[in-house]
Amino acid sequence: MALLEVSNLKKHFPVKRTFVEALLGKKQEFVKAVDGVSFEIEEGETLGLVGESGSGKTTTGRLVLRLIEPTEGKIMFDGINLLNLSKEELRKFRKNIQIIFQDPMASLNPYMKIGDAIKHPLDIHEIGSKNERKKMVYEMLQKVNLEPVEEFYNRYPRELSGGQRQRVVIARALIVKPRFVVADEAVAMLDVSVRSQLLKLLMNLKEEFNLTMLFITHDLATTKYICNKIAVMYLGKLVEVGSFEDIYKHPAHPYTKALISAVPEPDPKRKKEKMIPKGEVPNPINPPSGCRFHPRCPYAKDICSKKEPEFIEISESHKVACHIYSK
Amino acid sequence: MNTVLSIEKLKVYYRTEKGLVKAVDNVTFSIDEEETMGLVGESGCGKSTLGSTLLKILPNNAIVEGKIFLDGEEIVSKPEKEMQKIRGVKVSMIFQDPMTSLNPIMKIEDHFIETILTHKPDLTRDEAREMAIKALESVGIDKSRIKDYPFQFSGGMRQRVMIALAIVLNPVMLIADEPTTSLDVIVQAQILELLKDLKNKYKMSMLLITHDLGVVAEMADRIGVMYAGHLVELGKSEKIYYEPKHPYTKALLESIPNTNIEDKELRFIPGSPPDLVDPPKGCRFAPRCPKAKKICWQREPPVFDVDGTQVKCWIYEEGKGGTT
Repeated sequence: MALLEVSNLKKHFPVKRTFVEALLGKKQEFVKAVDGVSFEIEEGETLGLVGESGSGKTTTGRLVLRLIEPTEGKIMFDGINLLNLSKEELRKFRKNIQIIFQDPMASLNPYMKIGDAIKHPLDIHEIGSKNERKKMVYEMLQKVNLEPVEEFYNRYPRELSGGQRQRVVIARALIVKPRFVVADEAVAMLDVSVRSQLLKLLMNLKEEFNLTMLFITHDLATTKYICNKIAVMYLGKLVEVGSFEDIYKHPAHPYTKALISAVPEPDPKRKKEKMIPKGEVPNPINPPSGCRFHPRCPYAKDICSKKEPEFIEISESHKVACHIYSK
Repeated sequence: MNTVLSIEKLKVYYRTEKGLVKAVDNVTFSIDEEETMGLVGESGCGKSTLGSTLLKILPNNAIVEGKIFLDGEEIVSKPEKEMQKIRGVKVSMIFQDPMTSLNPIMKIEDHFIETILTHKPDLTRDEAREMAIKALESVGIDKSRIKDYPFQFSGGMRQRVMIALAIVLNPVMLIADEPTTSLDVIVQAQILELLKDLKNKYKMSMLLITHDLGVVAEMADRIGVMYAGHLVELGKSEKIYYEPKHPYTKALLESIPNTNIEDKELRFIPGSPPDLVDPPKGCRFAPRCPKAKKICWQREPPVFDVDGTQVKCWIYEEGKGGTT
């Protein structure tokens, strides 16, 4: 059984109306940030969630942890429906599910020593005695290679480099020994040489803690190293799910194909056929009918604007939501 | 080929409370007519400082030494008044975030009219508007949007507006500082394609500053690699990618996550870049370099010519005379 099972997850954010607009009877509109997403992650596996800005990948990550409340859907974690938990139950449960944010400067308190920041989750969940907590922080600092640990414990975020700060954020997420972690663009802000260091660290810790992970990223290449499975998201919906090889070597959805062909590669002689769709991602308030990619899709047929495509299995590991493949 | 831009022994230091930050140190290179040069490096390597120096839009605590010749004119010694006649006319710049360079309460057309009339005071507003429309159309923006405000455009469209504004006076040189970094890959590909077309159409030279070795691979004729304020390698694009000479360039290329499925190993450069207030005495990469020798820690390496590539590294010392 999968550790995490998400089905038909939706989040519709209401669009603000002014008082006058409401009086004049302007209809309440919704941004359909996540609109019917289903996936599962097996224990110890990492699912990569790939998409552009506005695809809903970050919202999906937050919904899964119930950092925001879904409009609809079901989130089963190890047999427990997270949406049925009361606030207090959820607070206790959070020990199992943690998140690593993209921007460590925004998620670390500038006035808190990094040792205290890492210790904070232990205080909240009342794990260990005072001395035990300190010992656990030292251990964690060592695991993320912030040594000498006593020295780093007393430093402030501003005294660290970007890569070191991200190590602190990782340490803070893992100190409560969660079973599941959402990594939201966890390495995106860093320079290449440092990014790979952090990715390696994350991979090692994942092994050590036997973590299950939702790895959210806009960068397809990084998913190769850490993800067992990849899901591609476009305008609130998943369009394709498969292994890295499925997605990268045999992309099936026209959007995935476009996304891959657009990635600039460090190879000046590469003569890859570029398939860049015209225009930009449409407004999620009124997403296109049928398949949401159809207005930009070079292969769009009649049916694409009328009927929403369902997932079709291409191989055991690979499925796609596109009418081209329906019989 | 005529040289459009030539930089000689350029130094840019910032005065700070901690001391002098040696952001750009002893950098020499030139760019030919209609050539695109890529300047790559990680955060803090000095690439953006270098770009801003070319327009002389540095903060007040910057000290500049050396020479910069733009279209035959030396600009380091030029007073601000003269620089105003050069910016936008001979050299323009586009930045990573167009929202910070466009005035949020000014209509798009007013941005253009202000720029054009500043440099061509003899024109009427209508003539300036005509020029603006032509520039906007060349970047794929319909003239009906000329009365819109910046916030009414998406990120990609705003970057197009910025590009139109940069080329409206037909400069000889365009500096693009991380022009697509805040954009999604598909929009990025669209903008890069546009920049390539415009460069050819308007016969400009371009300096493309980026941290992304993928972006420059598709755009640049030549590439310069910067590390901690030094230009460590400079050569033809293909040479840099297929026969990198400097240990830093090699390591940097290897640490890019590739898409080869068989290659699951993740390589990185241990450590982090040095503090530029007190950089290593010799080669600035020495503390992270797998090939560092005694001399690397003691003396700054000169630039050696190796198969047409300029490399600032002691490995290439033997037999070949270097020039500092």
